[in-house]
Amino acid sequence: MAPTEIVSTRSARRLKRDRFEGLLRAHASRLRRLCHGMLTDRTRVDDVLQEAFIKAFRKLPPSFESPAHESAWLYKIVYRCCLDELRRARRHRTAPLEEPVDDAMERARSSLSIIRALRELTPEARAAVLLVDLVGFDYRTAAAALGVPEGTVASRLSNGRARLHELLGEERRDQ
Amino acid sequence: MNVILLRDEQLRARLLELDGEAPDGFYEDVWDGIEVHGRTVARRRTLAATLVLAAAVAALTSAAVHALTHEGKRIFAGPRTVQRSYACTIPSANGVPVLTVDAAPLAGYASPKPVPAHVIVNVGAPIGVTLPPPIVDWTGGYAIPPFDTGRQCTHAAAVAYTPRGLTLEGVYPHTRTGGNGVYAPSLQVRCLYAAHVLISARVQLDKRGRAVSAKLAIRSARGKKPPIAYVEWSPALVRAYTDPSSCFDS
Repeated sequence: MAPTEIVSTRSARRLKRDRFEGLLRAHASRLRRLCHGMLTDRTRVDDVLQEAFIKAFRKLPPSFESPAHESAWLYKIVYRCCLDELRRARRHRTAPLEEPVDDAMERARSSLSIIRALRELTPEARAAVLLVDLVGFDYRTAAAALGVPEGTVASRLSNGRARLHELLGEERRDQ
Repeated sequence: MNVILLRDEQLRARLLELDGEAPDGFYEDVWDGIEVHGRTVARRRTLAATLVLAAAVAALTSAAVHALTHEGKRIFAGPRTVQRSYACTIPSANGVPVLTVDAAPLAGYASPKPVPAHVIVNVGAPIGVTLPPPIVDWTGGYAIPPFDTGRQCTHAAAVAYTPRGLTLEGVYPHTRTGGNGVYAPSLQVRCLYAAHVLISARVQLDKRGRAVSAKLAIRSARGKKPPIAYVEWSPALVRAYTDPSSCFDS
């Protein structure tokens, strides 16, 4: 390989890394919350996110049609990795660990309760709620990320929200 | 049941309680993982490219060997013995089933175009009708081609390789004569009246897959399976035995 080709390969790799870092900066915290909500187990979030980011970097296309397309692509990879992890856990019957208690007891308690409530939903309904209500996707982008029609997203979202309202409302009433 | 419902805004607020902070060193681990994965993929690609290259070289070599041997019909290679036995129905030519047996030693080997030693067993056909591919066909100096490519026969048990019950038709040693269109004496017989025959051939191949010696036995498939022809063949000598009541020199 000629020196100029080596330089251009390196600079292309550098550019790709810069693009990917920008992508992660824009979405990192929401992706982490999505992953946490999907797995309902904080201890597995890092591994799954790392796997998802490696996949995403490997498959990063040269460009996207639109920011929505970019988001749908990235969240789809994370969603799929979460589903794979949930399937693996089901096969190996891994029970989710109880969330560790933070110093901020109040935060830990409420976080724990949302996790418990999410655990009551199916992974698909969980994903719909998280993508629309947490990430802020419209139905179309959420549908693209989940790989299902918009109507399915709406249906899952409706069911998921209703169940969460019910569970969290009951919990608040108990307090 | 009295259920207190949260508003959607409250639900969103609750969802934001999910952990969104990456622990220290998380992104360093991600980049390390990406680098390690990149190196693994590069190694796999190198290995795959090497394997593909090796396979391509092997395929090209094989294709070249294949192309250089007997018009690409070679299927056997290596020093070994090949044996095939068939039961064949001989179609009639002008009302009579005709089986043809040709066998020749190397002839005119000193000439630019020697006649190679060969054995061909075929069925006769009426004039104007194209002959089907030979049932048995090999030529000394070349790797032997597949038997019965026309699928005129079915596989059968081998018959005895013996001249018992037959008459010596001729012995044909290799000769310097022949070649350049001049044929040296060789076995060329037509055997009639046998509509169903059993044919067995045992061919000894050298390490390059070329026939170096062979035995060929043909019997009727009917009744007590009377012998029709027996040939011992090598590039240097052909010894043939036939049943004179059904075979004649053509």
